[in-house]
Order: sequence, then C-alpha cells, then structure tokens
Amino acid sequence: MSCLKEQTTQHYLGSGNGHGCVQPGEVLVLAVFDTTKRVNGRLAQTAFKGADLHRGKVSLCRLKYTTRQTFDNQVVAPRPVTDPLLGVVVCATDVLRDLHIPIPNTAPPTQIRAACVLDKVENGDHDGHAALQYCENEEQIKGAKTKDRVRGAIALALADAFGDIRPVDSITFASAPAN
Amino acid sequence: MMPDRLTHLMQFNDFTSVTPTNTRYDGDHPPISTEPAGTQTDFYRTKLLKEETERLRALSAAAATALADVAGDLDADAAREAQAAVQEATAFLRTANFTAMPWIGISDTGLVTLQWQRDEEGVALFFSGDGVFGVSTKTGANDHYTDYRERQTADGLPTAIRSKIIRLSVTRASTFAP
Repeated sequence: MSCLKEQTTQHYLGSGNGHGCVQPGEVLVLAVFDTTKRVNGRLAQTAFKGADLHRGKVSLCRLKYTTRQTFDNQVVAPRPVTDPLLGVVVCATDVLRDLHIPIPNTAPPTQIRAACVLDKVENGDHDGHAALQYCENEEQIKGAKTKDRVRGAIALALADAFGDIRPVDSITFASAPAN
Repeated sequence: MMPDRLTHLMQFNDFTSVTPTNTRYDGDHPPISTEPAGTQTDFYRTKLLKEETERLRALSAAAATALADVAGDLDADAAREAQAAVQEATAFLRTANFTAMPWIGISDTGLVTLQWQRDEEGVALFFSGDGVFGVSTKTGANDHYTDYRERQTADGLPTAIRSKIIRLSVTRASTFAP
C-alpha cells in the first residue's frame, strides 16, 4: 500500500468505525447491472468512468464483511427496476493494488499504480463498502491528453483484472455481519 | 445531449461517399466470358473495392453505435474531443486495413479505445485526437494490459503489434465483438 488514503480509514465516522483499511487477501465484489458496460461476458473498459475513479465513486463490496442480505438490500434494491442485476465480478485486493501502468516519456521509466482500494464508507453505505480511486501519484502524468489516455489504459487494466461476469449465486457471501 | 448534436457527431463519420463507382461486381468469381484481358482484373478490383466499402461502412456503424452509447455522458467539450478522436481512430483503421472489426469504446471524456481480444490475448489502442496514440497488450490470463506506451499516429503501428492484431483476427468469429 503506497497511497496514504489506503493506510488510514476512509470511514465517514473516522478511526475505530467500520472494518478498517482493506487488507491484502480480501476479495472484492463489483455488482454488474444491465446498464453496466460489458463486452463478451466481461466488463468493458468504459464500465469505469473517469469521473467516478477520480472521485472514488466506484463501489465495491468487501466479501468478508458483506452478507447476501446486505448485498441485496444495499446494492441491488436501490437500483431502478429497469436496471436489473446481471451478475458480479470479483477480484483479489492484491491483484488490483499490483496493477501498474507505465507513464510515457519519463526518464528513468516511471510507473504508477492503477488505482487505490479504499475502505470508503459514506453516510448510508454499509460497512463492507469499498471504493476504487485513482492513486495520488497519478499527478506525475504531464499533459491532459496523455493523462486521458493513461486513464483509459488504467480502466482497461481494471476491467480485465475483474475477469468474467459470473452469477451472483456463485460466490459465497459472509454468513453474518462481521464486527 | 440534444439529438441534433448526436446527429452531428455521427454525420462526420459517414463513409457512404466512398462507395465505388464501378458496381458491376455481383458474385465471388469473375464471369466466364470472351471479354478482353483485363476484365478479370477489373472484376477483382471491384470486388476488393466492395469489400473495402463494406468494411468502412461496418466501421462507421460501429463508431456511430459507440458514440450513441456514450452520448448522454458527454458534455460539449468531451463531445468535441470524441469527434476528433473518432476521426483519428477511424482514419488509422482505414490505413491499417485489418480484416476484423475491433470493439470500439468511447469514454466519458471522449477517449476512443479500439480493442481486439481472443481468449487471454489482446491489443488495445487509445486515441484522443492529438496525433498520439497509446498501445496496451495482453499476453495471458495473469497479464492485464499493463504495458502501456505511446507513439505518434503518423508512425503507425509497430510491426509486432500489427502482427498480433492480424493473428487475433484470423478467426473472425472468435474476435472481441461487441
């Protein structure tokens, strides 16, 4: 974990609330709805909007701390009936944190992490909520167009890391809310 | 986005004007005839032109679909960026002359991505309309397009990337279709 935000809780009530920082080895779940951009049974690169990644608004569930009931009530139920749940994609925290993208035209060659995995819980979120956000060191990228292209590469890397969309019943949620 | 802006975005990419004027082609083989030598050459030239036209029409349709898909997410600036990026990407594709259509994605900032993927191998190209494009490749299940680099659009594709796209395109049915 290189980003400061990953090393301190992002729970809106502060330290001592929620489950703390997302730990290596945790499995993260992203709900896939009908309106989620997809291609050939996977997330499309465009499933991750730049604005959402910039503000840390890409929502994930920490599998270890999310029951099926919480998933149904907090993630699926708030969506409009016209946007049904199609399935989920899952990825290990370590895989997401290990994604590095080279910054073009840097000497010596420099890489940045694709995204931070934060234990971001805002008022109304369940405590198993996490979020993806561009890393702070993204500021090293010079030029708006280059930054846009690198962000496109980041979105593609994230989409690919999540792999195939699978049925929600194929994953095992937490059996009871963890404390 | 207002419908007239979407219409405008789609109009610039209309390839219907490239329809070949010689439209005598009506099959896969030249007619058996006693016409002078050169007629068969004309036949195959027309056939190639027809295939090229169909390819460009398909490309135009795919780009228009991608634009329509993202139209509601684009503000005025992003719409202009997308317009320039789509023009650059489609011009690049016309020159590259690949047989298989890539998946075309347009982001909420107007970035255009072209992606070919088969099984766990793939190539993605990123265009933003400024004469530079990005390339990322995927070489296996545990590789996630993390070798990003950039080139000038005028320099074209590196030979290795071009070869990889052609290899990915060999079996048309298994390429990364929308």
